[in-house]
Amino acid sequence: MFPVIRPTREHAQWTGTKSVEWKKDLISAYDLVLIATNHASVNVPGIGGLVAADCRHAKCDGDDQDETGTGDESVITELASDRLAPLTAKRNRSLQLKELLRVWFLAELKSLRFLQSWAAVKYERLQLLIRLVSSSGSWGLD
Amino acid sequence: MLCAALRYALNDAGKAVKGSSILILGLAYKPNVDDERESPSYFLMEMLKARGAKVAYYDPYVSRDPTHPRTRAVDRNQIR
Repeated sequence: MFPVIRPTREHAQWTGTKSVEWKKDLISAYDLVLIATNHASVNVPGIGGLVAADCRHAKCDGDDQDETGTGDESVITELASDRLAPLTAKRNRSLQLKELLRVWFLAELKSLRFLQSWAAVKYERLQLLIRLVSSSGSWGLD
Repeated sequence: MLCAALRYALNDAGKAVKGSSILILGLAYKPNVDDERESPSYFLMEMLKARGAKVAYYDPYVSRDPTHPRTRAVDRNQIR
């Protein structure tokens, strides 16, 4: 029997968690026994009388639609998604950042173009004003 | 899918996942070995704990050898 969970980098929160004893009365006190690993030495029928969910032979890459999932290949589909969730979130954050940068760049470009067009309009008006003033020969005060 | 399986199993007993006590049988990553590293059982335990279940485990194969270096590390740290 495994008395205590040893330290691991990935699951440090479980370090030091003690195993339960394999006694019928203790085991039967649980609402559900989830058979996660198919050890040959465990007498699975001996658990009789308990609610037992069986995820032996489960794979993380199944894509079936069986919602009951008992002893089925894809019962750990949700587990796999939980496992991949941090990676997906990280990837999503990266994509969001890229999208944000792209939008910001386009906005800056647009504002630059606007400034350029605004400056062009102002320049044209200034040129027109200069031409009007020069054509009148004076400031029109006489 | 696994959560649905658990829900169905507990519903049959008239219970909910939240607040129920669940025993994970087998901590090793594959049958008949004593190595629990990278085991999906950890993810199961975390998932169930996140859903409010009280989780415990039992594995007959992982070493109880007190001289095991990683076990000694646990003892050194006096982890309960």
